[in-house]
Amino acid sequence: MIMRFLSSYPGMYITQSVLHSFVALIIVELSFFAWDIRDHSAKFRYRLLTLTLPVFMFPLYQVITPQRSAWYFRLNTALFDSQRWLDLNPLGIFPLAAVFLTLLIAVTAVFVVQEVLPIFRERSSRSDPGTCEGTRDTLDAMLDSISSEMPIAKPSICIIDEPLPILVTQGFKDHMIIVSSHLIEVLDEDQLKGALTHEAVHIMRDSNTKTQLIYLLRILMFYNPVSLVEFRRVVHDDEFICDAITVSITKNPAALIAAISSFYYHPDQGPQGLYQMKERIESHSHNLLLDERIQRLRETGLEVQEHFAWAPFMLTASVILVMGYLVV
Amino acid sequence: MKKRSFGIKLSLFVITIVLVTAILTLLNWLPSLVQKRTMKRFNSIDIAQKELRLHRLFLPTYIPEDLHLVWPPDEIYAQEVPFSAFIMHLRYRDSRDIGLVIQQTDANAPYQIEPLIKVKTKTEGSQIFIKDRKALLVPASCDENTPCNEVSWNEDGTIITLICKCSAQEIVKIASSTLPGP
Repeated sequence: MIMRFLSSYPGMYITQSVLHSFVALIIVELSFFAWDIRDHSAKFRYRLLTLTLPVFMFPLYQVITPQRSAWYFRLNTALFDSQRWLDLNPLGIFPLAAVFLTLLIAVTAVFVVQEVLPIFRERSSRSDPGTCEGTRDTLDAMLDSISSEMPIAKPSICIIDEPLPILVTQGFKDHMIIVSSHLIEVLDEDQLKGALTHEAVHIMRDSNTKTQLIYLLRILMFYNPVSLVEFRRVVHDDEFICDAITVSITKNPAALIAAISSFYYHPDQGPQGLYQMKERIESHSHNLLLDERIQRLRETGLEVQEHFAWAPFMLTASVILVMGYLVV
Repeated sequence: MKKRSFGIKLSLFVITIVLVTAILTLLNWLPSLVQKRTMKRFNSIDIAQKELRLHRLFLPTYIPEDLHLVWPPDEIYAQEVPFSAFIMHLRYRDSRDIGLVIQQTDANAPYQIEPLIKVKTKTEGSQIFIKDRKALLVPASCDENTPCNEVSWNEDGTIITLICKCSAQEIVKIASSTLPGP
């Protein structure tokens, strides 16, 4: 029954999109080495290939070559035929197709628990989303100066009374920067300017819209383990890009480093439950990203961003498409 | 840090692509170590028969000369897993096109192997007798609208199917020649 499903068009789409993602991931990661790509702005675009192309590859190939999924193509033309592996039953207990399907179900479960349930939980618990405590003239003046240096409309600002460091940008057209009172207290003027400039760069890059579109791709590939990892990496890349642009505007990497440092989070050492473990893992991964961002800022400082080379990018995309065609 | 030239970068990229291709080829080959009797191409009918211990093969002893088909078959495929199947593709002498497909598969197979020649049937076909066996003869159009015929019957638990870009009389003669007796 499992093999029959995996041999159907939906089954082949699922199997091949996962394989195409893996192939794209490997080619993209090797491209970083081959093309000597260290700039996160370039990495962001390359990683988008891993997320976007596998969504369309199978239907595109089927239109070009309808016999691509038939045995003759698999045997004579394909570089890799997934059915050869999925048919195997090495221990005689259950075929590898069952193991593969179990993996996809596990990834789907992770997607639901990690990315779908929190949205509903947040919606139901957010009784009063806009508890702005007002604004401050210094912040307003700072935003005036920041937005005059960038091609953006001045965003509104909202200060919330929170004992945690919070700084987020909301909205797609009319943006609002939400900042916690704690952050205003702990950061000096330069640091706060760095942090607000970083948010303004997100507005300039339209990060919220981009993230939503990328998230849509992530939803389409909810079962795909590669999308699970790559989605996060793309979002992280966006932070690195915004850091680099911020420093190129403020010319003060030290202030941004100090601002980023204030976001380290260490949960209380309480009881050893599942929830606490989840929180510790999440805070660890959050702190690791902050470490990486600080490290990157220390390494590059005021270094000018590399010019994006389209030829290697197009070549890499073409190789992914050709390889994908030969992976069935 | 010294930057690499585009030539070096391109060479490295080519090397990585060769590496990925090699890994995929290796991964594609590995299952054949565990499962040896799945669909495979053979160089000759004898080799296929010996390797897979095929009991009965229905080979044509007559192919009309004017069809210009080449014997032995250009491509021979056979498998024992997940079910027994034997396929022959005969090409024309003067082109690379396939003119005759002969397939024999286990009648109890969960699915039938799709023939390489794409067949568009025009009618449901008619029942005929090939050396006392009930067979179905279907006029059709193949590949790029070439007129062709398909004939199939059950020979003691084996479904034999012939698809030929030839007339109904010719395919029936070829089909008859695969069976013993006058």
